[in-house]
Amino acid sequence: MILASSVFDFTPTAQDWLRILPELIVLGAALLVLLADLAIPAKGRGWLALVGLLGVVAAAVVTAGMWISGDGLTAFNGMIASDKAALFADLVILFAAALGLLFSPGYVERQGIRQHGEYYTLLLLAALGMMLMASAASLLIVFAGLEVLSLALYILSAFIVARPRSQEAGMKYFILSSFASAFLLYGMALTYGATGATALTAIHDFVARHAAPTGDFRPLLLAGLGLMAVGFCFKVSAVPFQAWTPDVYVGAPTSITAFMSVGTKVAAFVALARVFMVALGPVAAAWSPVLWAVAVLTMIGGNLYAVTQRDVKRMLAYSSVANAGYMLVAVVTGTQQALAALLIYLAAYATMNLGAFGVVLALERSDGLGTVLEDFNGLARRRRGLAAVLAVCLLALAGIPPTVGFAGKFAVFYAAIAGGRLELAIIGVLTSVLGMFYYLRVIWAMYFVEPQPARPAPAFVVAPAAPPASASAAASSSTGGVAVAEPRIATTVRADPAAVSVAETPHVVYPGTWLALALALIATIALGILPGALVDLATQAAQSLLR
Amino acid sequence: MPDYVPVLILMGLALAFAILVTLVTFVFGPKKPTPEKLAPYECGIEEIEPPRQRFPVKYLTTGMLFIIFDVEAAAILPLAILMRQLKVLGFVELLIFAVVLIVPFFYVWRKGAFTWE
Repeated sequence: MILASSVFDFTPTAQDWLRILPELIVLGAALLVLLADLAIPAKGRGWLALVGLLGVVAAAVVTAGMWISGDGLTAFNGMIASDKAALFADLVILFAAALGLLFSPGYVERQGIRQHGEYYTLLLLAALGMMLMASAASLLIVFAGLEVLSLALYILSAFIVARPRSQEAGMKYFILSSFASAFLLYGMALTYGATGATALTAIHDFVARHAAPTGDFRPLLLAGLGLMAVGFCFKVSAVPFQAWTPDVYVGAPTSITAFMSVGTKVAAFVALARVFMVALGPVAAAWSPVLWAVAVLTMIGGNLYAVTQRDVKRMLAYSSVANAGYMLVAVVTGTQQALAALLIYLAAYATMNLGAFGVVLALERSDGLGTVLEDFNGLARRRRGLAAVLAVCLLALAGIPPTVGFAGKFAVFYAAIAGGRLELAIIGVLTSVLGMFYYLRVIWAMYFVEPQPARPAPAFVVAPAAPPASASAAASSSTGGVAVAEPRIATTVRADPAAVSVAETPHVVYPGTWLALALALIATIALGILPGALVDLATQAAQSLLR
Repeated sequence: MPDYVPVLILMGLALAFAILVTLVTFVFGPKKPTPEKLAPYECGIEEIEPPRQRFPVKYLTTGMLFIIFDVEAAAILPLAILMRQLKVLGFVELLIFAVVLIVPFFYVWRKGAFTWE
């Protein structure tokens, strides 16, 4: 009764709208892109990315302004938070969206995607959903944000209509993720049943008053916690629920993979922190053993899976699983310092992962191939810039000191030790060493392995644009009359330059992609050398959330 | 927990009743099937052609668009009822909702989703 009357008495003020201004700007940009798509002729569709980019930059500027002068209160009757944790997450998500938009024009054109307007609109709407989920102060908004981002990403995953792998990615993501959403929603319903509230502060007050002092965790609350944990663990691709990740990340357009691997993680982890670390913090004894086990499984499993991969895109997908494990360590630790470490790690992961996926995107051919480990052999000689960016980003993912990856890992493991979770820190460090193997293997291939002349041959069989006949014809014409008499010897003699020209990706790397890669590279190195500013921001954000 | 016992009893009764009625009519009901009785019932009109056949995918687009706009129009109704309490900003909220609705409408219209031929 009290609940109903308070809803009806509530009147939104202008302040409420100001507190969700970044989200509103992104929504406006999404609609503007739709309208611009109608106005711009088919040739100039790359400009749509610029429209979206302007919206994202405007939203980022407003978010930064809110960081400095915002009141940090909740909007719409305690539904959406505008505290510094939300703004921090918004900035990371907007960074990922901006880089995703910069990656897109060249990639979209090369992959033959024609519905540009829908592509950019959905990308912006996904960013909107992520921002909403990260700013949620109520279970309802957590779910609404999650659905907005998920629905957009289902479509985007399947966006390369002509490629079965992309269709498969969209279908798998849709079915499995909807299933997980149902778990999350059921968990929320049971939590509401147990606590009588959907607002996170009200849930916190209830469990702090009733459940925590007595240690009497009622079955209804436990069931709610468990189901929500399943839903969240699926969304962050923690190990018993990671099966969808590689298939979706590999099949989806790489520009989308880069964006969603970062954005979804930020949104889901900040929401997870809000629900579990903050609202359900008083009953940590009920959920932390479960997430402890999931964190250990994820760190070990993700790294072990990644070691066995030959495809670099798939390896990066499993690396994102492994990174989710390190982030879960911070969640399980549960202190304010750990929350700051989680935010630092999320920002670090955003820069280095976007850079790594960006290089893969630049190398991927129009048939979606060219990302196997052998394709990276001798890359440093053919593509010096791309190889250098990838090398730095992989070193960062491995956690080598002068990069932001080290700062992230250091923060998480230090917070774990300080918070009395020494065993998690030890497992984390050991699995990081395991992780170095597969990251450094790619760098080894790029810098120290000769491109093998025999390897590019299968690419010809798969690629529909270049049938084997034209290849042998080109070889024989280049060697002249000798090739007709002894084609076998001729190809082995001539193979080296010919094979390199095949293995080398013929397309140019677009200026937007270079700009995005440069941004990711600068952020990875600069934040690694001078992590003080990042640590300061993350600490402020953590203080706003967990006192 | 005791609060839920009546609910559980009611659920058990409902399930038992449904099973019981189905069983009783299945066992004791007279069965004299004729072709007319076995035919699918559609407003008493005889079947003209088998309903399971291919139909133009255009119906799907139109149907989907109809459902989207129909449901979203229904979502405006609660807002209209609360309009006096929500005052000016409630109206702004409604306008934002309408813009979010109208822009995609304009988009699908110009993309030719409503042209039949």
